[in-house]
Amino acid sequence: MRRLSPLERVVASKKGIKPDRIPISTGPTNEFICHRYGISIEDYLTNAEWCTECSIKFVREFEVDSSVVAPGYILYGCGSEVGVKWEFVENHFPGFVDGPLKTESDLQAIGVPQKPSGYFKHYLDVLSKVQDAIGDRYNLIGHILGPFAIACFLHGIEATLLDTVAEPEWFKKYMERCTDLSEYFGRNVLATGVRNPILNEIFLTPEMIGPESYHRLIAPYDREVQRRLGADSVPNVMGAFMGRAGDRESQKGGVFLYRAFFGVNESLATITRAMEHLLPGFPFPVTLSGQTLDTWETDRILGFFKESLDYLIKEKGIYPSIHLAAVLADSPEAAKRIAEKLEAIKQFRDGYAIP
Amino acid sequence: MPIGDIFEAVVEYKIADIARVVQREIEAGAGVDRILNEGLIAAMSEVGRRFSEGSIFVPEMLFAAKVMQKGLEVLKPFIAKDGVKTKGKIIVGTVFGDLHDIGKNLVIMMLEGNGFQVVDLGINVEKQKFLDAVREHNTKIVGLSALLTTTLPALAETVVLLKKEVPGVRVMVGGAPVTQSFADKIGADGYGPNAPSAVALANEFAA
Repeated sequence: MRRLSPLERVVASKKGIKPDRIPISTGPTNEFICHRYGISIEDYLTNAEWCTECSIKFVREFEVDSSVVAPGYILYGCGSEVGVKWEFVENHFPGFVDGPLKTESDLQAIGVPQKPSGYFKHYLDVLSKVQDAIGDRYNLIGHILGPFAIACFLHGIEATLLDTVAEPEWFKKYMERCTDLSEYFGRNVLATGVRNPILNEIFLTPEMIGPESYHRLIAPYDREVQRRLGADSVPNVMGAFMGRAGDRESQKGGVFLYRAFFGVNESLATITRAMEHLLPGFPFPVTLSGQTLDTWETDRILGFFKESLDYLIKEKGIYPSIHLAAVLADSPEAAKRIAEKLEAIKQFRDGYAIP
Repeated sequence: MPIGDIFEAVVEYKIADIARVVQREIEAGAGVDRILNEGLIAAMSEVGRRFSEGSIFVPEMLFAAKVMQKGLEVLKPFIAKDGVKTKGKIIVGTVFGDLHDIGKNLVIMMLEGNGFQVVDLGINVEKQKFLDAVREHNTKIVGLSALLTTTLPALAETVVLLKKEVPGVRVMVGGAPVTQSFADKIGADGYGPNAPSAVALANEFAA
């Protein structure tokens, strides 16, 4: 078989066609990239040239086939430019502190920006540059914040969750504004040409909010954003884990899928359980969480990959990717240690003969 | 049963009714201890059970806790007056470098709802501050929260410091990246995967 490009490899895998080798995909890599390539967090967030260069360096060095470009919650649109407060703690990416939406009059004051600025503009610049440089060969993913995620940033996670049960009419009011904002973020992300934008409801998990609440109160707004942007353009990844409305079994299955997809209690047993609830067309990776990548010894990591890949390919007839849900490091030393594991994973992948 | 009205108000999220029913039972002479234990605390235990079994989720737990807290506000002056003792005092905080608080706040609500007095140190708390708080409040139960993998070292350092400096201290840890094996590795006394399990640990430590 000829050597496929990373993009061809990912597409083949998703279509159930045997690729030349197993694709490797990564979720957020921001802190690792900063410590690996010596770029400060501030420069990562504000210097588009450096952020682009380091993002490209990462996928090339570790031969990653699919990657989230420039991850960082502050970058996705809910930065200080819309009144959200973030706190910078030494050696860490900024953490969310508070949002501007407390009352009805605050809601009146929150509008859709005329044009991108601040961190969001930086994010779009990086998406464009990385897409232009390597987007024809690599599977690049861009995030579009969903309405519920935006609400959590503007109003606070706890307050928003509480409103879904205590103040549902108020919740619906600000979700309408958040839908407009999500559409605005989406149009700008799509304009960068990034090949795989996804609607990202980052605070939505099947263990956080009930599926009935999701389908009744949140899904309509997610679907509206998809409709406005072109439904085929922006898959709602998190929504897939909430099951089907009114179908309790599918909703219970969503929890197992979520755990396997994001790397919770990683094991063949977790994957086997999740496969019982697999949705048609749902891409199914073998996932390692950031914490597990950090704490497991290399041999254990590779052993998990081997047995899981063998099972999925031989028993289930699918061609999964190896997915590193997050690649984290809090120092250059930690980045060096993680890099050694990534190199070992690359070598394992290169040597793994697909059955 | 009158106390049942208090129990029902919490588990059915009747926030408009809770203050009135608690006040009614105080005036009827139900007894502060009974209102607290058979009403509010029993209700929050039931809420915790429903969350653990997956029939309710975080929003419902937050709402029930809010109802409970409203009832507790009415009861508090009488708790002090009657000398009703809490189960104990617990220091809780999110470790240094971590700004997440929703998990911590849920745990605090459940602990207070189950009769503990909680000292909330907030977020991004340096290990020395935990130690200072333990000494200032003369307590030996601490709860540490971390939501970022990159703050797990801070979690470990805090546990090590507390165990070294405070003989007999009991430390429980929790948060998305925390696991039982990690908790065991760093010498924590307990790991709680969710808020109700944190309450179970606190009850065990306080016994």
